[in-house]
Amino acid sequence: MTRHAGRLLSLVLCAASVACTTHPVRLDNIENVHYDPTRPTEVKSEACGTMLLFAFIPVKVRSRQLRAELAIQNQANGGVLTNVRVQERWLWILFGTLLCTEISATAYPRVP
Amino acid sequence: MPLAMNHDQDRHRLASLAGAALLAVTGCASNVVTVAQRPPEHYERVGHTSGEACGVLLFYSTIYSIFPVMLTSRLQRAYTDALSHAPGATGLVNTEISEFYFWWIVGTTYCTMLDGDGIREVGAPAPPPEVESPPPAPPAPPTGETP
Repeated sequence: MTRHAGRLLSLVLCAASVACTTHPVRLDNIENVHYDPTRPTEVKSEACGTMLLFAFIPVKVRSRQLRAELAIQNQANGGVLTNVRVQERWLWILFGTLLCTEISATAYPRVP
Repeated sequence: MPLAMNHDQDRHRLASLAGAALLAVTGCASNVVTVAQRPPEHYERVGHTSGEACGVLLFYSTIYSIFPVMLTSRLQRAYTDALSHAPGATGLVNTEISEFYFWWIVGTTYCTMLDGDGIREVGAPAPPPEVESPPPAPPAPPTGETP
């Protein structure tokens, strides 16, 4: 029994010591490009992930910022993004915690 | 009398259930933080900078995870931290965001990191000085030679 408890404790401590890092995501791209400042549009996107079972099992948590940024770039249709705002949300969902990242920005069309 | 007590207990139970349900569907949200402003027309780079701030979600995966500790403000604190590392900077461009999290016994810590180039507005550059055109060359003196 003590041996099992020791193994369980080792497993828990091992899991606790492992940190997870998300992908770095570039948010704006306005510098050194030509754009039309007279045609701004507002774009917004959200992506979520879930921490399951006492936060041991992250599901799509690490990639949520990247997914939100890719979606906003698609909305901008290749335009220039600036004035980027970020908001985080979380919600308890019975078997875990839902974590969401919302990114909104102002997009300008590129000009040659 | 026991009937009245049961009625009260039921009422309290219902109130607790309703409160729990309300908490569960409410969730929490951080502040909306502008992490990459549109740069002013004339600006200069102050230098590359980064900032970091953390918050804790206590009692993960339970209804109590809606009680965050410094979680809602971490984006704003990371942004302020980044600006403080680039003296004089009033904004960031080329901003990158990333996050790391780790579990520790009674909760999960989430840290947000911001990287970018600090900028500050400067006055419009002075126009280049006008170059004075040289005075026209005087006409060549007559040589006095006759054919």
